[in-house]
Amino acid sequence: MKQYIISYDITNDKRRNKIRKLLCDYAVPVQYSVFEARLSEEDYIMLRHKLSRLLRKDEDSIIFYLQCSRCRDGIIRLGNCSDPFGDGIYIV
Amino acid sequence: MAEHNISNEQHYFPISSVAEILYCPRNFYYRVVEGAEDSNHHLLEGKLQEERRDERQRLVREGYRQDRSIHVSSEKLNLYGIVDIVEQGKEIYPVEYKKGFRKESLNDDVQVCAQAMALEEKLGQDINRGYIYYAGSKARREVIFDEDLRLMVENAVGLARNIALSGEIPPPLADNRCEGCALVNRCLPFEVKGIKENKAKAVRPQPGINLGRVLYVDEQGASLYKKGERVLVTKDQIKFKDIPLCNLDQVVLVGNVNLSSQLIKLFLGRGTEVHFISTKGKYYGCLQAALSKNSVLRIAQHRAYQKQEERLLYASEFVRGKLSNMRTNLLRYNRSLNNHSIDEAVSRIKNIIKRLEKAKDLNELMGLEGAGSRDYFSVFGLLIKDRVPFDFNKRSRRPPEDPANALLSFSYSLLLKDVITAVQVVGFDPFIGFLHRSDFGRPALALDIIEEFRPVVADSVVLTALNKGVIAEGDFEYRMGGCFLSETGRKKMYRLYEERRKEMITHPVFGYRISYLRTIELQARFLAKVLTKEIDGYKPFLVR
Repeated sequence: MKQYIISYDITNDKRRNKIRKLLCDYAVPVQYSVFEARLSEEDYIMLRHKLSRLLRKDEDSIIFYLQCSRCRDGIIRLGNCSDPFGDGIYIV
Repeated sequence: MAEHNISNEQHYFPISSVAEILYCPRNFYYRVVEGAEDSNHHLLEGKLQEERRDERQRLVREGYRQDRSIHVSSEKLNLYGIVDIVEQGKEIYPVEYKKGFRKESLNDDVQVCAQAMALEEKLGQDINRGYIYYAGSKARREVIFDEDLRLMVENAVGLARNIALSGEIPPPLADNRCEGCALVNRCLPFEVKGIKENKAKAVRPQPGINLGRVLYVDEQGASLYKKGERVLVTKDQIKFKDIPLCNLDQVVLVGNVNLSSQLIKLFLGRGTEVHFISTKGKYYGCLQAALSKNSVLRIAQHRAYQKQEERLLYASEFVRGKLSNMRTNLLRYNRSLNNHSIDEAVSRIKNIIKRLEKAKDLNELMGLEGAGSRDYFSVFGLLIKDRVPFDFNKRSRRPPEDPANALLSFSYSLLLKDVITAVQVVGFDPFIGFLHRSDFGRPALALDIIEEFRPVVADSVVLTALNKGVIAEGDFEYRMGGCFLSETGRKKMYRLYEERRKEMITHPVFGYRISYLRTIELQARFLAKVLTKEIDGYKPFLVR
């Protein structure tokens, strides 16, 4: 299980919407065009595979920042944002 | 296991599995004999590359053509498989795609050669060379099909037939070849080798698949929908949760909660566990993907069930696990309490454990179990702190009569879902147990394995809930002469139980740190290995 910060810069509206939707399936949106993801190797490969089908290599950019556990400990969240994953126990 | 279902001479083996024999014979056993379909990221990557390749159009030029994903089979070798690419120019040859970097690898060579031999049979012409294309380094390597290589193919097929016919599982490799193997959780190479060589302490833990990320929905009338690949929990147009499926391992639906069929399909496809329980804690069942194909294990399980001696042996181990852990639980709490009656109960339980070995039949064993449990529960109330407004006098169920009993029953239900999952993931028949009888459609095997975890997982959750004052009087409802948890109480228990389940402990046999959640699966896997005669004697999970 690896944790990533994913950000994108896509000018074309149609493509941006598609890619945003796809990212929402695998990652949690934390800010405009910034996502946090906690993915198994398999899900990571699946996401990369699906993204490669939507992305225009000459215009768009998506960056995955891999976070090690020390990076994760150093995250500071100010204002209206909470850890999107927490302890992984969701109770409704 | 001499007589086995692969006795048919005409049995065909997949080419890729046969080539794998040279790398790891155990892998062949799991894939072909047990029908394992475990995948991991390496296999997924390969599959996706194959998909992308197949999307490209077939290539036909003057004097040259290329066909993709050609099915071949050989009657001489009893093999079948798919050739990634068949190229036809001046001569005809197969090309096998590999996702990694260029390397010399005998089993890859054997694989292409077997493909070529099948092709030769089909086309009636000789094929002298083939290629392996390494996608990582974008390079081809030529393989010459000489006599030696062809002989090796035949030997590999012979080996495959021997393993399939004998039904005996080859020993684990337990070296760096196991890194990155998709079957490592099923195979437990290091653990099995450790047990066999009495060096169990030197084992490293493998990361488990289930990380205990769980969604409980206990909002009556709520609905779960699929949105993209996310789970959406809503009720009356209010959105409660929106979680990507890849961040969930388990979903527990309590009471009246709706689940859309689109989502069910997605859960089954991903292998996300889905359990249904009632608000009173009755376990209804779970969603299960197409039955695990592990027929070898089921046959072994039924066989052991029919032998009285063997059945008694396993049953007595389950009871030993339960009573030992009950005793440990009492000892742990008594370190600070120093209560004389607890001491007495501890020594009485110890005496009962000693008598387990001599039990002649299941009835006697059940009697000992009952006596031990009575001793345990006779002092269980003393473990609850004085300032807690709840007392515990005796264990009561159906229905539980007081809050402490209600908590116990409810925790056992939560634990049952995890044990049932473990039993099914491994491929057991959940209804054939050794200690418990399988009347009335009870998941008897799950009830057997649950015994050793009751005191350490469920009982301790109850004691935490009571002693830390998490649960208050308002968290219970009294209905029809019974005492049940209210909605607020249940939600508190879900969290406590899940936190306990994720707690790390030092494994008593292997000495590594793993979660309780993983130990349940490991116990089920070990029982499977004992039943199929791979390792000797089931050892219950004993905490210290």
